[in-house]
Amino acid sequence: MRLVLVVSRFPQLSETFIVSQFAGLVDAGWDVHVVCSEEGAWEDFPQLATRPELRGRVHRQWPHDAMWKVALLWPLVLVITFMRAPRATIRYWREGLRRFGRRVARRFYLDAVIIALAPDMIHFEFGSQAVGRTDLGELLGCRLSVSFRGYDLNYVGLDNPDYYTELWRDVDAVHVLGQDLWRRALKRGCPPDKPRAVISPAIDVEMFRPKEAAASRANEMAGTTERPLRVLSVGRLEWKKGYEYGLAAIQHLIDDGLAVEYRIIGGGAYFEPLVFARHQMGLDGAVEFLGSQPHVAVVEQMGWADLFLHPAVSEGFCNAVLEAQAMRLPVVAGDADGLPENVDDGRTGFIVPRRDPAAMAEKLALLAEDGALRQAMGAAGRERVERCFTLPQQVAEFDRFFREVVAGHAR
Amino acid sequence: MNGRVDAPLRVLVPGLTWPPETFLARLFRGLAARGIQLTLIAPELPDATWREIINIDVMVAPGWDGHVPLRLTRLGGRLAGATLRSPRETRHLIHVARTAEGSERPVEQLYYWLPLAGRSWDVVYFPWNSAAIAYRPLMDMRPSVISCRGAQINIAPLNPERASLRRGLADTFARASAVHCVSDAIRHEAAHYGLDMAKATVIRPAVDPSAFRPAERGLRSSGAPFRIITTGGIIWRKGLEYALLAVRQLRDHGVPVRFDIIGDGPEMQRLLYTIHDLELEACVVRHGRLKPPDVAARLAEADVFLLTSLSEGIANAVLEAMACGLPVVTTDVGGMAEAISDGVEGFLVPPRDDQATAAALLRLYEEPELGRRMGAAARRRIEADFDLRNQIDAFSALFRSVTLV
Repeated sequence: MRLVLVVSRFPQLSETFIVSQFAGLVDAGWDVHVVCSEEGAWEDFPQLATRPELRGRVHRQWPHDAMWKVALLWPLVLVITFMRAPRATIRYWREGLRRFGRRVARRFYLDAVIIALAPDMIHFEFGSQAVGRTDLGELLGCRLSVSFRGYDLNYVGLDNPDYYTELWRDVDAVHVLGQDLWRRALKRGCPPDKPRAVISPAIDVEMFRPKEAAASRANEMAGTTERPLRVLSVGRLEWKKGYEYGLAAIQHLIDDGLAVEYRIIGGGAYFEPLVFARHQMGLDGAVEFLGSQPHVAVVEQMGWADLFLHPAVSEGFCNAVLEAQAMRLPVVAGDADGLPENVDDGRTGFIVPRRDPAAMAEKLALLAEDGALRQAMGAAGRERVERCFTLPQQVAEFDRFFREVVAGHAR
Repeated sequence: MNGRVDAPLRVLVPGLTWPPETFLARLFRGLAARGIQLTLIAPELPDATWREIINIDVMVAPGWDGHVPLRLTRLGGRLAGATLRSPRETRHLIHVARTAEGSERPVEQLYYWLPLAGRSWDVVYFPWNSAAIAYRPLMDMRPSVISCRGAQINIAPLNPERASLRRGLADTFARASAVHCVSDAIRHEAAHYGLDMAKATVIRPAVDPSAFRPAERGLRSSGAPFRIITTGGIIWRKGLEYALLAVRQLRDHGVPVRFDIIGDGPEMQRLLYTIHDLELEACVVRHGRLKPPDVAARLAEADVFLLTSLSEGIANAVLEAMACGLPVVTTDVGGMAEAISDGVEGFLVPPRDDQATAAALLRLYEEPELGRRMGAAARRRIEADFDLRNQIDAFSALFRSVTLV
């Protein structure tokens, strides 16, 4: 079965999950190809470098940034596409001319790379990418599925109630990262009987293995001047990560007499507002922005920290929170979107109302004084990640999902 | 130069975004009406309304954009023109561009400076700190005035990645003949970056009390929603999320509330998401950007003006609302306390404190008479302290004073 995954940029670090999914499905015997508009940094992925056959499965779209390039390449693209997949090309043009008339010429150019692969199934990795392209199913006579990962349901097209109407009609199945996203999909018009799979993200637990030394240290009381509470956050500096509420929670703790060191790993456009917030709240001495950091440094900082704070106001699911739990860190997180499914409230950490610094501070203080609780929650987190969020499990679930979608076609 | 006091004062204004912000346009028109000759530098041809104003001359100088041959041609033309007008100043500009510390793009800088070489005016007025930094060498030849307004002093210099901005501020403050600050708070803040307080003059923003007038208001009929309004850019500094949280608390408290948001900006997605996430779709109305008369019409329908900014110089939006006789709930940041005394024209609340904000709003909801009294006090305050005419007089006196040195 030939499966085409559609992404905008591949491979990239912030979407490592797509890379793992791709490699896992190839290993599971699928004939997987990736179609992207831009190629990312291959050197970030040593696991791909050892497998050059995977690289041949990644295809870039024909350049469409400038009209003159399109005009120049168009005839060549037609010939190449026809030679690679004559039946799919003919079908596309026959159906396309009927539906779009002359406009099919432009669409053909944008779809050419997918057509040339003659897929049995196309999977869009983000809902927003599929919008306007879901007629590909009819045009190529193949199955369609879509992943919704958070921002595509939370922000994109919120002003337009019909934004996803065609998508819901055209796609055969939907994948969401968690139950919360499924509820959001329903709210945005997805028919309740649409075939769906809830497959949560997964991480490579071997890459996040806590050192034993950290476990023994975790058992002490923290929050004194000699032993400040060490709080860590990892995530891009964006408004939706809610760091301002996290900073306010730290301010609460300090006002209550606790000594705290808060480090934030991540870069992004929201740096200046956060530097200002730190200054305004008088936290210059307590909060450090470490910028974007490589994997090794993230693991090292997770080893340093007593606990992980994730104050997000909006979050699909959040891999960093899974990684923190794999590193035996108790987590305090807002109740945004998928986070209550990610953290087992009261067992691997605490879920507090989002945008509520006082509630965050209360749980942080609780964890600060109770080293045994931190240790127990950390251990429970590691155990739960190993049980529920590993890559092999995730690949097996995707394998089943795609099989079912294809089987649905046969029915 | 004493002999020229009576001659019309010629002021050059570089570094504007185009069209200029409403409050700058108001200032320029007022100065022109008082006989000051202004030359505004615009990156594009202005529309007819600007070309018709007596004493305002708009000089079009396209920015460093377009394809390379076009840019080089323009650069050549500017170089030739500048050399013809004043070889000495042109040489000076080239020298500065080549040697100045922190100039990463000397050709681009020179491109912006050249059209201004060898022309004569009495004062250069930089309406933003960034303008002064970008056009630094203009300060070498003539008296200059810089305006310190808000984020460029309150926020940007805190960013550890902006060392060159901090250097630029110190350098331009040292060279300026005078520095205008929109509030006393900004003046103190700017002192951290090298401003000599003796050089600084505080001229607060102002409104035209005849353009923004109180509407005839009856008492809110029972059952009619309590109408809160805000205007301003949809940007993080305005702290809209905290306003929405406060509105949500009011609604949870059983107040029939309606919140009008006027403005546009890069954080529209955040605003939309937060409205949905807090389930406020039914009580929030977004208007986008409106023209001043339409803003005044909306203000006339409101019960209270809310601004939950995290940082401000002094918000013009608040002054306009006050002129319309609205009580104001706003955050105690920057110079806001210089326009609102807590409990007199409205309430000052701490920034990022949605509970205090909601409590202030609730009080105004429960005591309509208090709101009316505060609204009347706000109008009186504007007439006494924030009248556009006084602001323009102060600016023209400031410009004249620097030419007398």
